[in-house]
Amino acid sequence: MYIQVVKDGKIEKHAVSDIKFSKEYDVIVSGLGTAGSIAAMVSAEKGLKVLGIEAFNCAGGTTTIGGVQSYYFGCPGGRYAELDIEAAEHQDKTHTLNRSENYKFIFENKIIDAGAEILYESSICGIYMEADTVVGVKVITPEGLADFGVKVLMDCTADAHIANMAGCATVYGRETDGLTQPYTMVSGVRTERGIRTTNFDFGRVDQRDDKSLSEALIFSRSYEMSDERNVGRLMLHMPLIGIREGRRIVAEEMVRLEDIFSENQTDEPMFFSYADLDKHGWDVAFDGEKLGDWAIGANLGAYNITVAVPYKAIIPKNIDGILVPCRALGVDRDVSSCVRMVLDMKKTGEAAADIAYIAIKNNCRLRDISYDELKAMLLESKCLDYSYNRGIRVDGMYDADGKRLPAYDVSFLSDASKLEEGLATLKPGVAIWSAKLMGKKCVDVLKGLLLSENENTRKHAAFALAITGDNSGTEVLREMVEKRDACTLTDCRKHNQQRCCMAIYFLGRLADEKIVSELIKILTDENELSRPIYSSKFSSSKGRKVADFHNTYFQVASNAVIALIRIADAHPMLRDKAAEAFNLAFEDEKYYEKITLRPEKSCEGSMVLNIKKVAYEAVNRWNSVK
Amino acid sequence: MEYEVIILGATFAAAGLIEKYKEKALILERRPQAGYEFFNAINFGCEYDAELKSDESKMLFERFKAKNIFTGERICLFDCAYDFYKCLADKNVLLNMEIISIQKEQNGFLVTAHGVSGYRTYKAKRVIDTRVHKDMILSKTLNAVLKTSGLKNFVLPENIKMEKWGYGDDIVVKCMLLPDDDYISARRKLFGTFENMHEDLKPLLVADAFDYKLKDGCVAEKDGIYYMPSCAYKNPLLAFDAGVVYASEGR
Repeated sequence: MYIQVVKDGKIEKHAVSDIKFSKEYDVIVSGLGTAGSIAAMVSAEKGLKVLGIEAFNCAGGTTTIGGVQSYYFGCPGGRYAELDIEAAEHQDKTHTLNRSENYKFIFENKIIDAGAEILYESSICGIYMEADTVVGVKVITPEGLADFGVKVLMDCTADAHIANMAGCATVYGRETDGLTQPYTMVSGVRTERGIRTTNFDFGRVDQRDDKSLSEALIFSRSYEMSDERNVGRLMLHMPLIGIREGRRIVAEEMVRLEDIFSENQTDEPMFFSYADLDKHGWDVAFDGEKLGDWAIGANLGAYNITVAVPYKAIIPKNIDGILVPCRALGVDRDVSSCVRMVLDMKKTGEAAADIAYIAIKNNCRLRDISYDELKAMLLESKCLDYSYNRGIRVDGMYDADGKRLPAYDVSFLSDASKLEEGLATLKPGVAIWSAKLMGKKCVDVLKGLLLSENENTRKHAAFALAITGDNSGTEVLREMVEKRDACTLTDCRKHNQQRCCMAIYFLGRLADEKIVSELIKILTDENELSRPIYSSKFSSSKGRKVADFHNTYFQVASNAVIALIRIADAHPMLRDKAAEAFNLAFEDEKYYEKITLRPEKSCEGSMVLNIKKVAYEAVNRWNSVK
Repeated sequence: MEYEVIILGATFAAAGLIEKYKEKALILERRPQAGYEFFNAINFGCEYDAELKSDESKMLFERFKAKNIFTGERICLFDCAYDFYKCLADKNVLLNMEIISIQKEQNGFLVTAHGVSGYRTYKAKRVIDTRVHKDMILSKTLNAVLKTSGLKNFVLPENIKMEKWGYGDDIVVKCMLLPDDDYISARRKLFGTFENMHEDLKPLLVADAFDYKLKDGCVAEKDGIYYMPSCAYKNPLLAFDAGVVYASEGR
């Protein structure tokens, strides 16, 4: 037997002998948050001997000490629903105005009533393993260190802290710059009716690093909200900051964005996830081409997608005795921005309890359980409900009077002759994406549409051609960039793209050499900001108003930098020119304040600095192969 | 890593200490919060007319006053959290760090902690502990803020005591606990009393840290470690002041 620990960020492995566990458990849940609370309760209800370990002093995580009190999309069904009803009843009985306080009470009492033990203010600091199987944990408790044996360890820490300690392979951040989504500080403010929570996005945090995490916790609480967000007197900063993304495990079965788009989803789902690819960063230009085609190229970033989440996504590859039912499950970086919502995590916790129960009952490895047995349990509780396998949808739209509009399914086109109708409107997204799905077979039709007298048709046909990889529309794309086409499309309820940015994106994607001078002008011309597209000093395109942040210029500039990098990657002779432009742009002392007046550690400030960082990293990369 | 001083607990006293020690000190805190012994315990303190000895604490008091912490005889500190956290910004502070052990060595101490980066070991000439330890506790309460909606004549259950803290129509109440009560039993007691209170007294917020009353003599040196539990002081500014003064004396 050996113990694995993390020291100064690195995993160490030490042989141990004669270890005597003070207690043995069927299931130990590390982190009694959104997933862990349900996992502990359901596991104990099935008669398993369960210990819940929580670093803070209450259960619920994001839904209690994270201040998230409502569900952002997701599919109904599952064991969480009865807890919601009990919490509401308890709220009435105790007259409380704060839902989170009731959830703290209900979660911990349900876990205890089910027969589980809880250790608050405790955390795991070592994993005992035999060969590739987790068999025990070392825990820091208020009474000192303790060693417990376990059959199934559940890592519900959200960031795979425990799985990482156990040696599971993990990945982190996006390809371009290694960053995750911005974090949020949720505060509770006193309003006329009670306590209202306000979310405020900050910069990036690396929650694997104690210094970075501490700085984020302190900075976000020292930053006084601007008047527009300050809707009442502060009552509390939530103990948890809202971290949306972290480590992701390499699982027995992975979910990839391209599989969702090609409808090549798992046959063994534990539930269906349902939301948009919800990005809190504004720097979608840096999110790579898979997501870029969807969110920038087709302007479909706020369309909802349905993800069949395989049960094997919470089973780490090559290690047994551990499940990772939390947002660190096996999805790629793009999908992780969707499969992370509160309802997803609750369902993940429930499914983990079922998986552990089946494996323990049948004395088999977690990856070897019978899916049919699991499926029957999940269908019975409605955690898995095939009626929610609804594909891609438009949802969450409101009319001008604030009335929510009915959601509807999206069907993509397979007949090239039908593309023109959609391309002629300011909602060309479905037609553009249909062109991507059709590929070469729609190219001739689209080339014909480039000659259309309808401006929308002509320009959007250029996008549709570009998304298939065809460069016949580059002249039209260049024209949109040169004229800084300010037209904002209207496919989505949020994050709609301006045509100028879409054109820059595609010209970068097509590695178009002829646009380079214009891109450099965007970054370096001192008169750039006097163009009509940037109509006021801190203008924002519709629905994207953030005080002291010039979002339009940020979008145009960040897309221009990425496009320049893509073009120079493809054409080495242009690298010096691009590098020179970056120097000119970013050594300008006004560069930062041209885009924002917010502090460097704010969400906006960190993104502005990151443009420069990404540009210089590309230059260093080019220099290293000279 | 080596520091002159390691301060345990990200409390008001700790903030006062690091205000003077600056980069020579490191604060280690197990919670994800700072100043919790006052803010998160919903313990707004008393004796705000007591003399503050250091300029730093007088300045902090001015910043607090600018947040309108006093309304008549009532005190509300919540809005001061921003100013308190500003005191810790850009200092050596690590939150979410469990203290595993403090070992005395020939020239100081070896402190082992565990956080998101795993085990960390720090050397320091001195250790100052601003946390509460079990043997210091005289009594404890779990506090809550209630919305009274203007209701004047109400009777609170026996185990609930009202404080002179709050803002507008909101009041702060304390639920008396036994020394062995943990957060689970404390919440059960508090929520049990909520059920029996007048329905117009609506709980808004429950503390996530205990409000402790400590025995006399807790501020003392023992085995080379200086103990100055922050909540031993009458209010957060006095705790901060004590930290500044202690560090200013060159100890």
